[in-house]
Amino acid sequence: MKHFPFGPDIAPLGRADEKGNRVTHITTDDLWTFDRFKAGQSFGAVEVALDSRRIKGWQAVYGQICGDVAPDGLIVAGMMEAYILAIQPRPKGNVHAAQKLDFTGVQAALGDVITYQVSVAKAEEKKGRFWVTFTITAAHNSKVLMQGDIVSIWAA
Amino acid sequence: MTDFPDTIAPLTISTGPAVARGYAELTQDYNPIHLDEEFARSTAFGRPIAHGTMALNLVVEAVTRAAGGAFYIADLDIRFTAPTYVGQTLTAVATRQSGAEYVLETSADDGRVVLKGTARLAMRVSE
Repeated sequence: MKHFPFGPDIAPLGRADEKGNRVTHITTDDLWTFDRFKAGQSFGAVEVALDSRRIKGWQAVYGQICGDVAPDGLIVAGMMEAYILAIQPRPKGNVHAAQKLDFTGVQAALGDVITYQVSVAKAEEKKGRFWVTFTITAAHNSKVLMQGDIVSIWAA
Repeated sequence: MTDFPDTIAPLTISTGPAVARGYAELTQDYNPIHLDEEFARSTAFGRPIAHGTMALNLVVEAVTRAAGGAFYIADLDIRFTAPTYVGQTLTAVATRQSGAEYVLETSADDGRVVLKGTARLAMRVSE
């Protein structure tokens, strides 16, 4: 098990980490720098359980969840977790510049496990900045809930 | 379709250090630009900034609350237009332009717009 000073520990391939996430992507010791990203590159799948820890975490910021349906924002929070977990180690200081989201209308219940597929849509250098667009698809029981495009300015 | 409201009721949260830490734990995003004052001082921002999706999820949650299960965000396209400094209060609003099209905005308590974009809502279909 590796430990990163500002990030989560990543479980070996196929094993659950200490928070119960089953990480099915391949980890590496090498920092994910801009030059390693290629359009179409896949980082595999990350499973995120909408468990009590995450529900409490959500409610601490946004207030009580009514009912047993996961709010769409909790799926977005899971997208960010998957994005962070899938691409490690990463340089410090990346900036989230823009975001697209497409929800299908399919909803998940609290307690469900959401599978996020993470890939690179685009990587280009513009005016000395490293722009990377990551596409992340969230699904439950093979039904897509949401797709998101994260536009990042990569730090190194 | 005329069943969508003209405005989505504003929703406000504070982004103090404890909230920033909580959001980092929720998303596992421990980027020091959000949490480490010393590191943040070395960046162009000069001090810790809140996670971008904290502002994004505020507007998503505002729509979710207004919908009461009746509608949802079908698609959304936003830019983070300015940093939110940790400690500021954020308010999200959505205003209908026509049909199901909305303009989204999240502002900090100093008046700066930190998130701007558009969304299209859709009615939920009962299964």
